[in-house]
Amino acid sequence: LDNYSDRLLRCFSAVFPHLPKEKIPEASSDTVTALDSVMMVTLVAVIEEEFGLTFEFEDIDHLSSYSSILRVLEGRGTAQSLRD
Amino acid sequence: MKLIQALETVNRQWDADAPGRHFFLACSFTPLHLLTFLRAYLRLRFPSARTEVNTGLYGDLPGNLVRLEEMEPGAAAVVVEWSDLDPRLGMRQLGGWGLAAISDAVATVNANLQRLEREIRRVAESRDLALSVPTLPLPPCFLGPGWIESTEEADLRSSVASFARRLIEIPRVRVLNQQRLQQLSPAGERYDPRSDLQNGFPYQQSHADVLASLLAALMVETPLCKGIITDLDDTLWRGILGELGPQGVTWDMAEHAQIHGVYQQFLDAMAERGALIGVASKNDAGLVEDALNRPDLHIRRERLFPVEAGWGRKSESVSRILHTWNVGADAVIFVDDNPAEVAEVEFRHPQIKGRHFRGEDPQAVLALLSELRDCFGKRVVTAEDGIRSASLRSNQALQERASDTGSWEAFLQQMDARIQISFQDGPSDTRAFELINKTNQFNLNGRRFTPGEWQARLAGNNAVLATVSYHDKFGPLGKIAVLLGAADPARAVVRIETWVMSCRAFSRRIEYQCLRQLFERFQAKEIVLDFMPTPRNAPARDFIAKFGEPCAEFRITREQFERNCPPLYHSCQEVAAIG
Repeated sequence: LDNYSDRLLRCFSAVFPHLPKEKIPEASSDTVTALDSVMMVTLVAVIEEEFGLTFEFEDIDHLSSYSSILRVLEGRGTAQSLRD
Repeated sequence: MKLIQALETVNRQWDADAPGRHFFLACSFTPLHLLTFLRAYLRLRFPSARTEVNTGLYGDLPGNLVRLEEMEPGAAAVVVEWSDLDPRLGMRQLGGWGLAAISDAVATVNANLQRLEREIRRVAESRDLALSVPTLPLPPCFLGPGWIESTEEADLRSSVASFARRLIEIPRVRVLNQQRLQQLSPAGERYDPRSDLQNGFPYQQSHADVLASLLAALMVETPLCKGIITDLDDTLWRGILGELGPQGVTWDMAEHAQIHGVYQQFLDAMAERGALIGVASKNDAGLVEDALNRPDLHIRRERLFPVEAGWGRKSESVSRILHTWNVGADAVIFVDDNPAEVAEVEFRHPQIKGRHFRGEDPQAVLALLSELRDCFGKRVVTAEDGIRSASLRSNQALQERASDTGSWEAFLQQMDARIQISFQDGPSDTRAFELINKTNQFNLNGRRFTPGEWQARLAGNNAVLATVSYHDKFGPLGKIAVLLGAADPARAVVRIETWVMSCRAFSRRIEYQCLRQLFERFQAKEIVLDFMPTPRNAPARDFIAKFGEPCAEFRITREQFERNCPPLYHSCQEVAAIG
């Protein structure tokens, strides 16, 4: 699952280039002022492309921080592994 | 390019002293990923510049055209979609899809196209515009099944095509080629209804990527290649000349060799538009000459120059051709059916682009021709394009005769050299603009201009633009030198910011005559040259070195000039405009 966090770190770095790498795991809409709706759309698009998945409308409301996104990705990855 | 790569490209650090390049994206949807991709592609075109792309307001394309005029000068992309022309042709507004509404939408689209055309014409007076007309599919609101073209759909497409056709005529507007877009981004894979409804951004990422790359290419013209060096056997024609003889090689349908005829026809057209076409072939020179003189060849014999036929290495032939053309390897493409020959030439000339001609695969040849068109495709053909090959030929004759006479001085004296100089050619002089942006060797500082920068510079106070043409008994060279600067009559100083001269004009002392004409025309006591060394401008540096150690702000007084100027034998005439 480390691979998920590395890839997600790269996504966050690309969308928020001024956010120091060590701060990314703590990033959320409360701590990152730049994480507005437009940046959220960009972040979601980058993550969807990077991980080859599509978030539902209702999922996106819960993707408000690095940790919540990582949980969703790991959950989807686990579900996919079980299906495989 | 993936979105994450585009973001990482945009995020790369600039040098602290990087010059700024300003652009504008005018559309009415949320620009989102189109903006990111456009920023990335522009960044790739100007890796050392601080590229900035501004945008306007959501839902207001005409207003954004007004807003862009208030921005820094720079090229702009204007992206129009059906919903900008009538919101009923999109999905974000529910204005009805009844028959009356659709009929009314056609009328609205026509009215909005007229309005948009007026705005675009006005904005294009002061800056370069890249225009993309609707790329997304029309909604499923028309009468009849989708495989039958309805009257309204045909009318809408016809209106947009006419709109684009009219705007193509405007020099500073470049319209995106729909065929190229269709090749790279199939129509059925462009629209993203989910993103459109959720975010107001209507494109699939792949479509945004392709559209941005093409818009960037429209906004910033890349330097064109100058020459193609082609092989003969199984390339310009099918068959081995040494085995089949001049009458045995083929390029027609009957011999299943038509694709070689297509290649000949293509090269002939490129030569007409100013590309240099040379030949490098491992063959007997006499046989080659006989074959090239066949009347059914689809490229005129005189358009192939020089022809290097012999048994040495291809890379050596290429070296001689580059020397004759006096162009850098990076401006040349080498085409050969033998991958080993391509590799050998690329090894010896790493900057040359080698291309494999695969005559057995017409699809591959077509792709090659398409690539060559992109590398050489000029929008405007000038008089100089038609005489380029002939003047190189006469240049070679000049060098040969000069070595025969023994005295270069005596030779120059009897050349009957005539120079015309104009100080009145203006922004519409496409040849001057082209020469500045493609000349590397005799180039004062390597500075390039966008069309907008060029026009702004010419409009500056006391701007001086001198264009120079040359003719001697060996034939015309056409317009071969351009000087741009500013005159300060009070101090009797002329400052030259840009000075280029075609490599075809070397060895004739035209550069000395240019300075003499400036001294005389402006009664100048001093000329200041804004010199800067580049990896390629040794000829300009060597010329300046005749007067002193080359440096920035290099100053030449009239006395200094006359002391170091060799005898000049040109007859000079100032004209209003060089024809």
